[in-house]
Order: sequence, then C-alpha cells, then structure tokens
Amino acid sequence: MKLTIRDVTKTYGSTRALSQFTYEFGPGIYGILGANGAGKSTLFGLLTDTLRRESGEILWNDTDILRLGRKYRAQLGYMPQFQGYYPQMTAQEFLCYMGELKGLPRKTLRQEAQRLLKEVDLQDVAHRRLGQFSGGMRQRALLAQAMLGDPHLLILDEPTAGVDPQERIRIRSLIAKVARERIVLLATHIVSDVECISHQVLLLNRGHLLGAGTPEALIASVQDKAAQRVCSPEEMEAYQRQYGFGSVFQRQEGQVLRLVGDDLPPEFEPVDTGLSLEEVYLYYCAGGKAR
Amino acid sequence: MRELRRVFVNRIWLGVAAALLVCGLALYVQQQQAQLGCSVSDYAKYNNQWCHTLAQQSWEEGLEALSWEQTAQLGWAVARFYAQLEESGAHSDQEMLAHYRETYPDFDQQLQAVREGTDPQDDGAAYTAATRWLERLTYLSGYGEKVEGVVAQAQLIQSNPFFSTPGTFTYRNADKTRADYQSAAEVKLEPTRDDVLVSLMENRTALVFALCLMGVTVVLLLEPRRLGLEDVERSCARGRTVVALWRAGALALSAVVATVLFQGGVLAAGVALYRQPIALDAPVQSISLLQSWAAPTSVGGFLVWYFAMTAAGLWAAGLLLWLVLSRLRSLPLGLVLCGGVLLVEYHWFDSYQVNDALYPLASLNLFHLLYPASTAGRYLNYNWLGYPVRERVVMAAVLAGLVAICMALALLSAHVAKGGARYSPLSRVVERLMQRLHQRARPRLLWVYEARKLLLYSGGVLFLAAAAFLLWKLEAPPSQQGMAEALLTEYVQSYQGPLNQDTRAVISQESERADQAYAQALEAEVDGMTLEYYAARRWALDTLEQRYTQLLEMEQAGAEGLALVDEQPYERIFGDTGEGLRTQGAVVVLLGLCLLVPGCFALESRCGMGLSLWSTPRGRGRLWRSKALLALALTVLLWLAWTGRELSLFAQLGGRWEMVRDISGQSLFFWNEGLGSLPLWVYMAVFYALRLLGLISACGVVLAVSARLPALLPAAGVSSAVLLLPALLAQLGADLLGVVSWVGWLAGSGLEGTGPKTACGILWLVMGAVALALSQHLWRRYRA
Repeated sequence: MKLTIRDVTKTYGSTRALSQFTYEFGPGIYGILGANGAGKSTLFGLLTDTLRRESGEILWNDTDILRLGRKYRAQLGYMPQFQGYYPQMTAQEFLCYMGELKGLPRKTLRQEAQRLLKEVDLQDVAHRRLGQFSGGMRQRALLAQAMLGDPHLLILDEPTAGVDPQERIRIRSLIAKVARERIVLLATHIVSDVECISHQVLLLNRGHLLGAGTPEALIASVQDKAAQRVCSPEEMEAYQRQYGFGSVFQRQEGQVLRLVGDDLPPEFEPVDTGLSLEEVYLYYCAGGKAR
Repeated sequence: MRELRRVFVNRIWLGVAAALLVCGLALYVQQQQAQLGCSVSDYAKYNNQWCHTLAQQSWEEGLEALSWEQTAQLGWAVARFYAQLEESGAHSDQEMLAHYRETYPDFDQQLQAVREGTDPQDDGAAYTAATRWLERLTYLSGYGEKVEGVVAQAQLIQSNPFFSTPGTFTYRNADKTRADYQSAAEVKLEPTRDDVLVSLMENRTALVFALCLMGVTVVLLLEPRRLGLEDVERSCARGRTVVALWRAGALALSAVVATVLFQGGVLAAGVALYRQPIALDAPVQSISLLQSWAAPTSVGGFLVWYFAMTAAGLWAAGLLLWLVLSRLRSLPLGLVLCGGVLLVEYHWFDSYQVNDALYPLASLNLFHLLYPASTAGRYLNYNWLGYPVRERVVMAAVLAGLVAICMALALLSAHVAKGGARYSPLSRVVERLMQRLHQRARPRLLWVYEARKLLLYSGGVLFLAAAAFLLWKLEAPPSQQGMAEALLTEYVQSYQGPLNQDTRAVISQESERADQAYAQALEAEVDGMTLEYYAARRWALDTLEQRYTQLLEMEQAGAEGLALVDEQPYERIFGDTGEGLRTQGAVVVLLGLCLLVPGCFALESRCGMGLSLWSTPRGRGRLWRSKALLALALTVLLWLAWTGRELSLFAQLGGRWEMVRDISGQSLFFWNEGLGSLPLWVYMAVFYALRLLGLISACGVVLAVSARLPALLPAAGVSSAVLLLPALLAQLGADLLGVVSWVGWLAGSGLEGTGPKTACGILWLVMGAVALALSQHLWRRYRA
C-alpha cells in the first residue's frame, strides 16, 4: 500500500497553508513535526478530503482519493486534533456508532468495539459516559474509534495532547503496536513521541516540507549546528535576542543555554552528543536554519 | 459588573428579548381583537366618546343613555337580520314587525336605512363599547351595596353562636374583613376606562415570555461551566461568594428588565391601542376586576405593587432554576426536566379553579407566585396561628422567603466542593445499573443513534412535548350564532342523515306547529323574549324545510350522496370561523419544527464531531439521509398530532364519521359556495395531505438553514424568521409578505380545492425538494 502526495497546495485567502507538498508514504510511522500554523492539520484535512484541494494529486495505491471516494474513507482511520465526542454516550456506544458510520457489520461490531476497548485499556469503563472520562481516557477512546475497521491508513493529529506522561507512553506504545503493515501519520508538537516510535520524520514550516528522514539522519544533520554555555539570566536574554530562541538546561554548574543554528557565538562549546529531535526542530522549524 | 455585561450585552440575550417582545406584542394585539370581536380602533373611538360624555353626567343619566344606546344598537342588528330575511324571500311578518317597533323605537328608520344601504357600517364596536360602559356603571352604582353586604355578612357570622367566640380565627377573620372593606368604603369611585389594566391582568403570555427570558439568563450564567472555566473561577479569590452575588444580582436585574419589557410593553401597547391614558390617581376599586382589593389604594399604587410582585416572582423563579441547573451535571437534561416540570405546573395552574378538588395543585404552584392578578382579584385571608393574614401579604412573604432561601443556598453551593457525587451511594447504584444495561446493549441502526442524539442529547423531546401540549390546548372557536341560527343547528342535528320524503314530511309538520305556536304567543301577548324565541323557532324550521326541499330536488336531478348535514363542525374547524384555530396550530407546529430540527446538525457542531464524521464512509451521504429521514418522521408526528387534535375537536362538535365517509361535498352547499360531488372524506384527505406537504417543505427549509448555520439558536432564529415572520407582520397589521406566509397557506381556506391551492402544493413540493438537496449539499460541502 502507498499514499502519494504530489505538488499539493492549499491557500486560505492570502495565506498559503501548504505549498507544493510532495511525498510518498509506505507502511510505517511518520511523525510530522511543525510549529502552529505549519500546515499539519491542513495536510490532514486534504488527506481526509474535508478540505478542497486547489492543485496537486493525492493518490492511494495510484488512484486519486477523490475517485475512490467512500472506498478510500473505508480504509482511513482519523483522530482529529480537537477532541470531538458525545459526552452522553458511553465508550462502547460511541465505538458502535462510529463503527456503524464506517460500515462495519453489526454482528461483529460489538466484539470489535470490545476488543479495541481492551486494546486501549478501557474495558472496565466501557459502560461509563465519555463525559465522565479524564482527558487521557478520552484520547484513548478516540484512538480506539480511529482504529475501528482495521484501517490501512491511520491519521492521528496530536494524539497525546494534554495527557500526563504515563498516558502518553501508553498511547505511544499502542500506536507502535498497531503500526505494523499500516501507514500511520502522526502530527505532534511533542518531539519525544516522534523520536521514540517514528520510522520517518517530516519537518513542516509555513506550509513547506523542509526536510524528511529517519530520526537518526536528521539528528546527524544538525551535528555541528549546536553549541552551549553556562550563562547568567542577563546573558541568556542577550544571546537569545541576538542568536534566536534556544533551550535552557538546569545543571549543577548553573543554567546552560544551548543554541542551534548556522551562526553561533564563538564562545559557545560545540555539542556533539546527546542531541535530539528537539535540536532538529529548533534548527529547521524555529528559524535556526535561516540564521 | 463584567458578569452583568457578559449576560446583558450578549447578542443571544438581546436577540431573544427582542424576538419575545415582538411576538408578545403581536399576540397581545391579536388577543384584544379576538376578545372584543370587533375592530379595536373603532371600539376605542366609541369608548373614549362615552368617557367624555359620562364625565358630564350623573351615573343615573349615564345608565339611561347607555341603555338607550344599547337598545339602538340592538335595533340596528335586528333591522339587518330582518332585511336579510326579506332578501332571502321570507314572507313579511307583520306581528314580528310590530313587536320590533315596540321594542326598538327607531326601528322603522333603521330598517329603511338598511334597505337603502345607508346604515352605519359597524362590526359591533359601538354596541360593545356601550355594553362595557353599562357594566362598569352598573358595578360602580352597586359597589356601596356590596360593601354594606360584606359588612352585614361579617356581623351575621359573628352573631352566630358557633362563631361568636372572640379569639378564634373565624371571629377575627370576620372582624378583619369588615375593617378592610370599610377602609375602602369611603373612596370616591370614578367611571374609569379600564381596558388597558384589565388586558394587562388577563395577559398570561407576557408572563410566560418573561419566564423564557429568565431561562436564557440562567443558561448564560452557566456558560462558564459549559466552557470548562468553572474550576478556574472557583480557584480565584473572588470566584465563589462574590461571583455568586453578582450572578444573583444579574438574575434580579433580568427579572426587573423582563417585567418592564413584557408587562410594561403590554401596558404601553394597550395605551396606544385603546388610545386611553391610565388614570393613576383613580381608586383601584373603580375597576370591577379589583373590587375585592379592600384597601384604599390608587391605580398607580396598584401598578407599582403588581410590577414589584411580578419582578419578585421572576427573580425567585430564576434563582430556583439557577440552583437546580447548576447542581445537575448535564445542562440539556436539566433544561428538559425543568421545562417538563414547568409545563405540567402551568397546565395545573391554567386548568384548576378554586372550586376544583385539585385546586391545591394550582395554588401551591410557581405560576401562582408569578401571576399576581389572581391574588389581586379576590379577597382571601389565610389562617396563620389563628390570625387572618391577607393572601397578598402571604404571597409577598413566601416570595421573600423563597428568594432568601435560594440566595443562601446559592452562596452555600458556591463553596461546596464538587465531585463528591460520584462516590455517593446513589451514584454507586446508578453505576451498577449502567453496567447491567451496558451488558445488554447492542449496536443499533444509524437512525436510532440519530434519534437519541436529537431527542435526548439535544433536548428535542422537550420541544416535541411542548408542541404536543400546546396542540392539545387548542380549543374550537366559540359558535357565533344567534338564537335563530342555534335553533336551526339543533334541528339539523336532530334530522341529519340521508334524505327521504318521510323526514321532509315530519319537518313540514314541525314547521306548521311552530307557526301555530308563534301565532298563539302573539295573541297571548307574551313577553318579548318568549316571542323572540317562538319567532326564531319558526324561522329555523322554515329554513330547514327549504334546505331539505332543495336537497331533495338536487337528488331527484341526479346528484348522489346527498344528506342533511350539521355544518357547524365543518365551519368551526375547516371554515372561516376556524381560521384562528388553524392559524394557532400552524404557528405551534412550525415553531416546533424550527426548534427541533436544527438539533440534527447543532449537536455535531457543539461536540466538535464534524471532522470525525466526514472522514467516515457513511458520514456524508447516509448520515445526512438518516438525519433528514428522522426530521421528516418527526414532522409527520407533529402533523399527526395537529390533525388528530383538529379531528378530535371536529368529533366533539358533533361531526359524524359515517357521514364524512358516505356523504358528498354538495351536502354542504350552504357553506362556502358548496363543494363538488366527491365524498367529504376526499376533500378532508386532500386538505390534510396538502398540509403535510407544506410541513415537509417547511422541514426541508429548516434542514437547509441549519446545515448552513450549525449553532442551534441562530438556525432556529433564521428558520423562524423565514417561516413565521410573514404571519407575525400580518398580525401587526402589515401584511406585506402574506403571499409567502407558510402559516397562511398551512391554515388554509376551506375544504375546496382551488387553483391557488394546487399551485401552492406544487410550489411546496418543489421548494421542499430544493431545500433538501441544498441541505445535503451544505452538509457534504468542503469546509474550506
């Protein structure tokens, strides 16, 4: 199976949300990193055909998704960024309702819903209303509805937003578990989620695809672009004003400012080890590359 | 202060207040017209003329002048009736003429004027004005006697050995009653135009609308909870007591504004409509409705009391509603429950009078507190520890107590920690019950889920219940027949059925007997009323005989399915007389649709489910079809309720189903220029089928509007404007959009199928189809 996006563009008024986006997805987990307004949700809206495409092609197994229509959506599982749910429905009811919309046979729908609720560890509260769930439980329920029908393409927009670390790890593990023989697109701000489970990472900024590769390759690409130094609060402010936003670490010797970019202060020490996708993000998406 | 701004400078609050005010005034104008039975403007003219005339006369002179005027107006009515008889070919009845000349001094001149067409064009306004003034002056003349009667009655009670022990409630009550009435005995009563004040006190619509506005205020006060800001509020220093006090203050302000808007609006509309100022200095006993006030109070003072009680009642109701809804976890469920309770309470309040066994349901009732008119209109003392206390004092105390308790509970509630309810014994029982139910739950069909979403989650069941309740409350219009027509109807009911010569012979004999009875009554010089009766009976049987003969002739000429039919049920339900009834039904059903159907899409928007739904295979086409079919099914349900109520009223009025089934439309030939030769049930079926088509078309329009405007209130507002505004304008006298008035066309104009109705049906069909297609397109369209 493959999903091909070719020269797709989307504009809102005078703002270009997505510009000539081109990529081909095969089975695996793809993390899509980008700031707010980078175009992640727009990309997903085009993939789920809820936004009108201006130009370009989106092909599922070499056939345009508009031609496939319902057949394409039958292979799609989508978890939007905004937590949409009916507070009055129980978790089981909600899955059955979504299963009905996905065209799953009613005879097996109940078992399928129960299986997925067990998968996301909600089997003991399946009879409770979604309005009574905590944020993390709700995210898991919504993830379960996205997985209904065993879709080949799973699109998850901020699946771990607003949940505690334990829930995040649980959801992440679940995604990794179900990603075999499936295309999973995962949009998030949380770099560690992407780093842990993604096969490929795509970096989006202002509608442009800045870079794509494995986490290791991307980290290697910023190997000589990071430097750090112990600084006082005043120095930190001055350096960031001049060199751009950096990350601050608390160490025994004091507060350490790490800057990422092409242009770095000479007094800073280069950082070779311990780099993460956070530095990659700062370099590509937060303007580090431009400097 | 910001809390007040948040509520009162909110476009929803302002929009609802404006819409309710306009509707309330339109309904008020319509009610005044209906109650008077004539043009309000003409009535006001005569009413004001009499006011000036009577101001310069003594009461005795005034009574005489009014009696004379009433007689003269009756003379005109009789002259017109007599002239109609002449035109219809009835033989000239000299005895009756002589009787009329004796009863109405100017009868000859009046009859001549009617024959020449120079009689004054009057729809009864002059007669109504004279009659009302006559009633007023008669009341004023007898007020002194009434007070003396009450005082004497009190003394009589106290002289009775059973009640003569001082210190008992009965003894004290008699004392107090005497004292109260005597305190008001010395007031100088004045002949006062009381139409505005009476219309204010009889107007319950303003009360209901004011309560609706309080409901909107409460919902807006609970907005922070819906937005998830409640915990943030409560964590702030001033987020509990201070906020609770401001919110209670907002409810008080809302109560005052609602009172001024709706009650004050009615008062202002009344002054403008009747063109009469309110005599604020006049003693309140000048108005017969307030004869039991029993205290020296001016009309101005009474109005202050009335408005203050109304505002206090609304405030108490608002606090109660706020308390209840803030403790319930689900706002929609809370609104449904509170709405249901209020509906039931209103029904009890409206249905049970003082003499009914179930009267406590009406008196221990929130609406009793909200409607001070019932308290103002009677003298009643309650027994408080053996001492008599005036009912209005008790009401004021109850209101004050209710407000104090609700305020205390609200402040207490602001400090009570949330979340405990989940672990209460009740919640554990509910939890176990839910588990049991869950084990039996099975996946449902899509439309079943949609029905639950619309009826339960969106509160649609409340709108359905309210519509059903209002349809059930519809009553057939009163019969507008005089004595002669009423007798004719009675005879028709006795003889109705298939035609035959035997029945005709019986009718002829009856007619002859009536002639003889009339002649004998004339010879015996019986009183005028009895003679009128005999004359009316004679006329009725004469007319019946002519009608029966005509029907027989038609049958002999080849017409089939003819019979003598009582036309009153048809006229009062399907004819001109029933137009008001059908209009009310149309408004109720259309309003029900405007409030119910937008829930199909509003819930998706409110719950943020749009993207999830559209990304599924069935989330566009099939889901829309489920919603549309559900909306159409509910439309059919409303149509059934409306049709059922009309047909039940038809049966109550004497309509017979076997005649509807068997008799041809030509049997109704005295009504609306006659129908064709098809059976009556065909005409009724076409009438109701056309109505169903119209409602389905209206449903399509609401679906299209709500697919475009996903929020409930804007969709309901725009739909109401499209479907109901033309009718509202017509009520206010500006019939600019009558041709596109859904209400007008749904109310229909009789059973006959004419060209315009056929064209209307086709138009509805096309519009409905277009609207449904548009709705589907809007639901499936790209969001950007």
